[in-house]
Amino acid sequence: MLLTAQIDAHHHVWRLARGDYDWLTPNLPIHRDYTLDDLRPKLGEITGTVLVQAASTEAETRYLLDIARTSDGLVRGVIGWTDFAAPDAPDRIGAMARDPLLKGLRPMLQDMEDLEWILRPEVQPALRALVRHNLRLDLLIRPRHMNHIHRLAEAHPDLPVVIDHGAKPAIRIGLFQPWGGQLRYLARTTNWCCKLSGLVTEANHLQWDLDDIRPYVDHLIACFGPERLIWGSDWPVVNLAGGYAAWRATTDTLLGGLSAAEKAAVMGGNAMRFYGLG
Amino acid sequence: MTRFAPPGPLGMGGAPLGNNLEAVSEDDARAALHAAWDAGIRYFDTAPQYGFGLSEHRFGAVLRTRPRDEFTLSTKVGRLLVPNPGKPSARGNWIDPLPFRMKYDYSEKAAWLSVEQSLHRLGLSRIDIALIHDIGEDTHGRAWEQQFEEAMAGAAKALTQMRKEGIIKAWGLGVNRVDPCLRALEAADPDLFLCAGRYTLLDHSALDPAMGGLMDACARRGARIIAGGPYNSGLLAGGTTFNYQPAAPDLLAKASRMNAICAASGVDLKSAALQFIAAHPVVAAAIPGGKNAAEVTQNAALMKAPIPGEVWATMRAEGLIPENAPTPGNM
Repeated sequence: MLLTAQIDAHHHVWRLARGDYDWLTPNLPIHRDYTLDDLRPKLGEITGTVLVQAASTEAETRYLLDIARTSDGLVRGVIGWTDFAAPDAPDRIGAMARDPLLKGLRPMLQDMEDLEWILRPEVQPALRALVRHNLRLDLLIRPRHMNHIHRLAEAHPDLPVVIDHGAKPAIRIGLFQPWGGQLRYLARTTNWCCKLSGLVTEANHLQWDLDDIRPYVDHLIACFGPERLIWGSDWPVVNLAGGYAAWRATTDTLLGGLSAAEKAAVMGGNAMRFYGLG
Repeated sequence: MTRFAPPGPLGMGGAPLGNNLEAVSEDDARAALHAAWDAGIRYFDTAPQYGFGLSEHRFGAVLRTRPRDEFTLSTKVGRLLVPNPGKPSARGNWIDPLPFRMKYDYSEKAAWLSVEQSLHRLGLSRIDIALIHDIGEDTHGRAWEQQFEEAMAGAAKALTQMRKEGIIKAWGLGVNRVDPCLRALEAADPDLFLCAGRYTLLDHSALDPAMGGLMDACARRGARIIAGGPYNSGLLAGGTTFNYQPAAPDLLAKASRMNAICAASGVDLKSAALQFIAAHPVVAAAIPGGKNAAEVTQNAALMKAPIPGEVWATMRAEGLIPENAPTPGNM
């Protein structure tokens, strides 16, 4: 018996005709529209979600906030986007933060040429503005960012940060180290949370099985503990590698060693606390 | 993404001048390097390991006489050389090496030290490219993943910093396997891979999606390949060894058929071997070695020799080269 609401703390929706999804190319099987109506039948006991940006525009953030407002309480929070490097970023962040549904922002670091972009001087005022306005930072990083990312925590110890998708270890080619050691260091030296999501799309999309994923999930649990792990589906991206139900079942199995209370924290309680979901 | 890459299509590999498997005289070494320059080759690759410093000394002695901005030089990190009194005549593959022994060290500190020591041996004030040497299962066995981890958190960090400070222009790995390259593309921000023998007429591992698709992965990150071992240690140069081992019968048959196709058009198989590699847009340069002026001059001529389109068409039709491999004039 779970003690709190179950939350899917990481999913998307998109309407291709909006035209700002640069990464969503026609060759991808998820190159079609996805709405909350597509998601609802998959949710089961999940009663709340966090809707995450998929385009680097404020227009998409407004679109997501509209969807959240009209979702009958399903979408409890939105993670949006603004250009952190813009000179007026602090003011824009202040204005965006007036919407109580906006819980945080996410720059798309994984696709940037400069791996250390988040440490650039012109980005720092935006990060300080996040702290001032009680917003969180979703950190969309890959293992290649992990040699320097601890400097973000050193510069902004008060910034609430969640690492998306366990920092996306390349499971398909067996990349465990140095990811594993670097993640342990980050977990030990920061108070950051980490999302238990997005892992199956880093495995071989068509052939992954439980044993491919297990060492990575075990490591996330060992590093962050059940009090700093936050479950998410990464739907519809998860459709590339088996879909919502398969990932849900996989995590059910791999979290089998946790107590009911610990599991409830990962599956909802931590998201409620971290994002301040009502 | 614009990353620095060495000038191609032909460079010069430095293992032979470290007395790899056979001794090379000082005169031959010097003449080989001058011949490379005269043939227009402007990219040179060496390593501390090659003859325990001998290759670096020889490359430096000649390259020092040339304008520094006109050539590109790469060397390796990951093995520090330690003085070794009581010089043996041969150690491993190295004949008459310098009186040093190797100490593996893939740490951040060792990378800085290694680059500086290389500069002293070379007698030059800078190198252009630093490559983390031999972090693969072929060198370290099953412990390779630990070495890889140390290298990514250590040497890779140092080399990224050197690139940022302009001390080097690019960094990467120098290996014989595709796996470490694929992993390094995920774990760090390398510019290029000197990958020996994994993209040749006979070995298409770097192109194979089932082996991770290194060529495509490089293209996505803007990274480049420097193709070492273009003749697969002999089989494509009229010999019978593949990766320094006796070649399997199917490979022998394949090489023999390729040789026949080339001969029918009056083409040297070695010429096809070099030009096939250079035709891939991810490849920056092929770097055969050369232990004297004649070999080096011949490599340069082979890279330029005309090859009729029918050679490639026949190899393609017979399934000797994969569908997705570009060939000269068909890119």
